[in-house]
Amino acid sequence: MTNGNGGGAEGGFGGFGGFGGFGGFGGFGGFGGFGGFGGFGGFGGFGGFSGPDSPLYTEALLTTRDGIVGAPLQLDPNIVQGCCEDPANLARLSRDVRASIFMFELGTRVTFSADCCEQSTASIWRIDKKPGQPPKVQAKPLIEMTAPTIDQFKDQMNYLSGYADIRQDRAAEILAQLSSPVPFLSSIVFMDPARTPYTIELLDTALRFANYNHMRIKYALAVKRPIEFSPQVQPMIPTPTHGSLPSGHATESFIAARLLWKLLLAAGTPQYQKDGVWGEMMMRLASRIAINRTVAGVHFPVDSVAGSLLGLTLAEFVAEYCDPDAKYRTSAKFDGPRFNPAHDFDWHQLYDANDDQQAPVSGPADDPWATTETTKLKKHKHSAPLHWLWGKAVKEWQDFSCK
Amino acid sequence: MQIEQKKDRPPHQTWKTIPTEPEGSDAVGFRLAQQAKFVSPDKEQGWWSAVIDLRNTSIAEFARRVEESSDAKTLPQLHIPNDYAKAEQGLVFEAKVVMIFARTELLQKVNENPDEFGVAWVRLGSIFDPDFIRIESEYQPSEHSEITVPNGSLITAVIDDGIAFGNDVFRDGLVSTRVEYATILPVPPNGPPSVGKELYKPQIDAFLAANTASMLLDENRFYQQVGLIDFYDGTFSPTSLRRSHGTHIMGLAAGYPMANAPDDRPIICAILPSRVTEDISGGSILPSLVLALERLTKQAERFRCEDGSTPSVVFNFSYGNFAGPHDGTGPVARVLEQYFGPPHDCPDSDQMRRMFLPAGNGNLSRTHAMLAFPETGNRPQKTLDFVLLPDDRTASEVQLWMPFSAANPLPNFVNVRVTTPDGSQSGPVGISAGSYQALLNENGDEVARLSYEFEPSPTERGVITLSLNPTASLVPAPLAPSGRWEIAVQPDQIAPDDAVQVWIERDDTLPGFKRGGRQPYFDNACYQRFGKYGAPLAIDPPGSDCPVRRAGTLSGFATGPSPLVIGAYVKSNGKMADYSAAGPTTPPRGEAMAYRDGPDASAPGDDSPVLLGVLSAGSSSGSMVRLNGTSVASPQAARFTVEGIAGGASGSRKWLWNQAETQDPNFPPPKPLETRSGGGRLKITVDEIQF
Repeated sequence: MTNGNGGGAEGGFGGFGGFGGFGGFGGFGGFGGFGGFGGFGGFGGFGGFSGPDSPLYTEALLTTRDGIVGAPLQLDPNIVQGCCEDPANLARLSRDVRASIFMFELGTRVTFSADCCEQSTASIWRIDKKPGQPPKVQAKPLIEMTAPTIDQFKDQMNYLSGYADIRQDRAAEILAQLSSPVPFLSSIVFMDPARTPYTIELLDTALRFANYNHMRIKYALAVKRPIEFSPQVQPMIPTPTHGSLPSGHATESFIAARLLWKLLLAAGTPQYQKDGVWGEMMMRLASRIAINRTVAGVHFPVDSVAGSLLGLTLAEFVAEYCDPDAKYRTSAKFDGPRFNPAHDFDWHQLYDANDDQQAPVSGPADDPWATTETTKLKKHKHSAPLHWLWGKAVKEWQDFSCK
Repeated sequence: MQIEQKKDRPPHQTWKTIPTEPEGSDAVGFRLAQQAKFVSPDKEQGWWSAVIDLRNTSIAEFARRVEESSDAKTLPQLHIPNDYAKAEQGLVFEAKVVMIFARTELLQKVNENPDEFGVAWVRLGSIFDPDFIRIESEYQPSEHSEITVPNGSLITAVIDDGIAFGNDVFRDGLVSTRVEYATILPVPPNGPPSVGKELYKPQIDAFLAANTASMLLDENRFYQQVGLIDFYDGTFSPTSLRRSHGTHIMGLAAGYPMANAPDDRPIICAILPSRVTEDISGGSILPSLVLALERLTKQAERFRCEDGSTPSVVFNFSYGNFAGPHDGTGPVARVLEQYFGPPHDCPDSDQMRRMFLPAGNGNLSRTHAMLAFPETGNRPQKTLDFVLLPDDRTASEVQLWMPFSAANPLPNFVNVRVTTPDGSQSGPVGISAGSYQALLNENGDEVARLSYEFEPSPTERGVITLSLNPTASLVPAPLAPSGRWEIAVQPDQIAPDDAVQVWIERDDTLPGFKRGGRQPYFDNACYQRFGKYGAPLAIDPPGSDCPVRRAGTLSGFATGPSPLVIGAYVKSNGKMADYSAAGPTTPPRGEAMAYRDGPDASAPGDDSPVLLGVLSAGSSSGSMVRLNGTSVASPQAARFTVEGIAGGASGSRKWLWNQAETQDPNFPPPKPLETRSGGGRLKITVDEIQF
């Protein structure tokens, strides 16, 4: 990862994604791929003749200084100490520096445990801290995921062969969706690095956090990929090395879709509030991205079920720390062995876009495979850097009117 | 030189003369015998869909004779779909084509001794998974309630595969469909019918409502819930693709913008199985077509206008094949006559029905040949170079149709011999049953058969068939050798003004489907493919005596007297599309006139030579896709005719011919040949559904 400020440096996030030897296929590595940001750093243009870290450039700065520096000056008394923990500082930081800060803000508020009995269970816990005080660790459930049985996955192999029939139809989408879902979301709501830089930064923050969590759960549950069940899957893209459940693409596309939907709602712009159609469309997209991974031959439908539940829940969690007006907190439980393997992935069972609420119970009422608990937030969760980012992003969705 | 090489190499296959019973269709027998070698044992006990041609027999009587001939210990051998009501099963028909499910053993018996069962012939559909048939179903179709529609209503009925009937161009509201009835044949039954599913408007509307949120229909979920798409059981549905034939076709025939949908244009539709194209034995759509027609005609009869009159119904069936007798007496043509011939074609009948068919896309396919022997004296034999492609996973078939003769016994028109790519030549097969030529591989398994059979009334002509096994299989199987075969036809007693008409059956894979069949073709050197500037020749060059011809490629389905048959032209230049198949057809039973010389009219099949196809609905609401072929010309003409009938016209072949004749002068000359465009080019724009 580079800390340089060069135009292309944002691509360095791809390094973060170094998860896969496949690079771009690291799914996440794709963040770098969303290099539209290269434009953002028009700074690169500054170094048109040579990069800022090239020997020629450095030599030029040396001789320039020698030429004009003059005799030493007195230091000005107006130069005072920088302000501690002041979000105003964030605006002066480069995006990748901010990315580390935002990641820390979210990452230090969760922890992990695994229970490796007959059916592995992974849990993400929330760590609530009181602002201004040293942390007193008190973990509460955020996500609990129990893997389905091996027989369930074997049964779901039927879907792998069924969906393979439509590969030709979906090939372009599948390849284009190897990396970030953001360009696809941009085709639904008007995002552009020049127009909505903070929204994109917020989504990248959420995607990074989603990856941080799902990779840990995948590692714990160690669910085998379809290719390990049969020599006839023949996926049309390389299978990532990490575990199959939960689907990273489902987690990432659903966290991005829901967070973006929350931004639109928070902006108060009237055209986004009427019925849930903007949210619904973003969920349809997220679902299609998830399903395309089954078409490609790298995921079971149940992976998308778990992934979308994780993404939707984490979106609420991120919003808790970002949005000073956030009203709810949600924790979720996925009980894989209860999922009927003859069933396909259906996001409607998990979430209602119209009122932005997760379903309390998914699956048969007496034997649900997913449950969520949503409670009213008593006190607002504090993260000044995330508030700062959220505030900037919300403004990007407010309409201008002529007065 | 080539011949020398052939002799150097020992042939891998040898021909053998096999004595046989004179009765029964050898092509059907070959298929029944070969299927076992290619089908996994768990499917061997499955059911075939098939059709029988009943003669002076009732369905019930046929079933009784089957019962009599069956051994009580064997599995049930026959299932009559419960679409045929009890009362109907008791009726004695002079001639009626009926759809049945039967097991191999029974079909072999009926095929060998059709008379014993009161049957003229049996034709095979495809092997069915037992899960797809409800044998125990005691249900009998009851009288459904009437559907009242506004005066002046006209029903459009579409038979096709993968129809995305939830598309908004078939709705008149967010959760209200214009489809009064849909039957889905390729899925396990869920209700009363013994095969497939049936959905009525109230059920469709309920599914629409259950899958609509924030004013958007979750279409994938809708099709999964109605049972059209099932990724779990692996029955591939073209509806899951962006572009589906049936949706495009039904869009052209009856699509309207949802916000502006008429209330007097109801739709009924039947969705055919798409897997038949993957049947290695060359599965036929015929049994499904019979079932679809049986259901849709019964449903159409439920409609009543407010004034008590019965609205007419216009069908579209955008399917075609290459082979068959091409005289209007083939099985599909016969079935179509049963439903659309007199009295159903008459405006005074209880309910007037029209059927639209595409002319076919085989004009340049090199699948047709005409062998005439006009010379006198010592007449030399004629040969056809027949290319059987490698990696063809399905069976292939060449049919050599003899001329009609009233003489008894029939004259020995010709003797046919076939030479394999290895150079091994068969014995002659002439006009007498009793033996056939079998090509055996090194293990003694039959891989190809050259046989003669007589097609009974109403065809009354003989046919010599070359049946060939697949040339590739993923499991060890007796394969036919791919390469250049030679079919030699030696004239014997054929009259100088008669001809042998030859067709290769259609065997290609449609785009979007898993690859299976590959289309064999004739590759005679005399066939001139391109003109002097390099463009494909769409009409046989004048003066050519090459037996391989474009004239006569008209779809085998589209040769009967009643259907309205539509060719395709290119909108931008008014020329006929190169692929649009051509007449003429053969007169039936030696009559002076054929039922038709070609299509009745033509309609747009392509927007221009570079913008192939025309736009219509994609599978998902709001999407538009391109599709070309005579398949898309036909539904446009059907829609045009619906509006014509609404305006008081009869919508008959003659009416359509006249319409085309009147409109043709609006197009750039010259007027296309009647054998390709009938009365002429119809000026049609279906812009209601275009954005």
